[in-house]
Amino acid sequence: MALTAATQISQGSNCSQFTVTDSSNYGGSDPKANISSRVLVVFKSDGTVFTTINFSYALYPSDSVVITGLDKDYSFLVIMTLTPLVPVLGSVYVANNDFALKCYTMTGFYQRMKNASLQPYYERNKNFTTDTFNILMDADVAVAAAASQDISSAQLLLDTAAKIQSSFPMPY
Amino acid sequence: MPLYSNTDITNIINLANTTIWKLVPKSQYQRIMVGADVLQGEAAIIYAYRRAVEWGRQFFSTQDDFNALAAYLLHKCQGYGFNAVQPYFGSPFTSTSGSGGNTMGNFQFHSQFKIGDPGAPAPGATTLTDATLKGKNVIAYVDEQRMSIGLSDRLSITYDIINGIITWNQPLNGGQLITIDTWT
Repeated sequence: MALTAATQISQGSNCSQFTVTDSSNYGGSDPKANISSRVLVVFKSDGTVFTTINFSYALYPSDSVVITGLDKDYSFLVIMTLTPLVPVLGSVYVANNDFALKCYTMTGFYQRMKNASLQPYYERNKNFTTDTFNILMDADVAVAAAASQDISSAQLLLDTAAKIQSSFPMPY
Repeated sequence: MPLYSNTDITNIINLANTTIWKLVPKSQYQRIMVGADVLQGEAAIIYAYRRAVEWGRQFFSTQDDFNALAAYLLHKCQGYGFNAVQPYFGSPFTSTSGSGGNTMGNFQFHSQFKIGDPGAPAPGATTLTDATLKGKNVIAYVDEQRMSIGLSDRLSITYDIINGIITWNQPLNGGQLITIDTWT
């Protein structure tokens, strides 16, 4: 079976980092032994490079790398490029992955709802409910936009959510 | 404090979904389904709590305050009568002993009554004592306002878990709605 390069993105409760995992289907005519290099480039939505990683099998035998240094939620394009020693017809050696990270946004949303559950009169505060819903919707739509390869729009939405949270913090 | 199990949280989320769609008028439901409208009012509030619980369960499920958030979502859903809500008969909890007021594992009793109701504390009371509260964790609300120890609310409570006594810091007025949720 031909190789198809692929990556998976995950993020835990530490919003300053995320994990990229190589989920390519190595084997057959394209085992890892046929790949001479593996490189990750993480692009921000404005096209600049956030980081470049030599994602070699020797340095990352678990096929996962933790990327740190996120000061806010980003929408990224991660490109993983595999360089084969002997290219195999039908194999795909480049994996593009557009995604939006929403840990900061959702953690802020979670904190708001947790506070509201302690003081439910917030539920009747129109500014609070509007802002909180906008934060949630921005996060949702950002993820959807990134899934449609529109990471520019996704970043705008994430930045809007962050701006709402910083401009209108609790208490209201 | 014992925490909700993963199954409990799933049940609470499912109950929230049920509650949301029962709260949405058919006309609004049809508009939402085609993207012409969004959830509004109490349905939207419950949806937001549901999303917060869904997010929190990934990372904070071992924390007490996540448990309390989930308990509050359950409380809101129960308020709409889509889960068994025990009425108040005499002593707040004696009528709901056994399997408890609902089907949630740790969350045993949900009781509502008004100050001055038969059997309930009389107007001017500052305490509520019930043997079945002993040894249980308690969330108490007055007029849907949650009272938590340590918060700087005008009205606050202290709770004597050994003797099952809730004490408010000022007298309660007749007709005020008291809600008490407990779990062990």
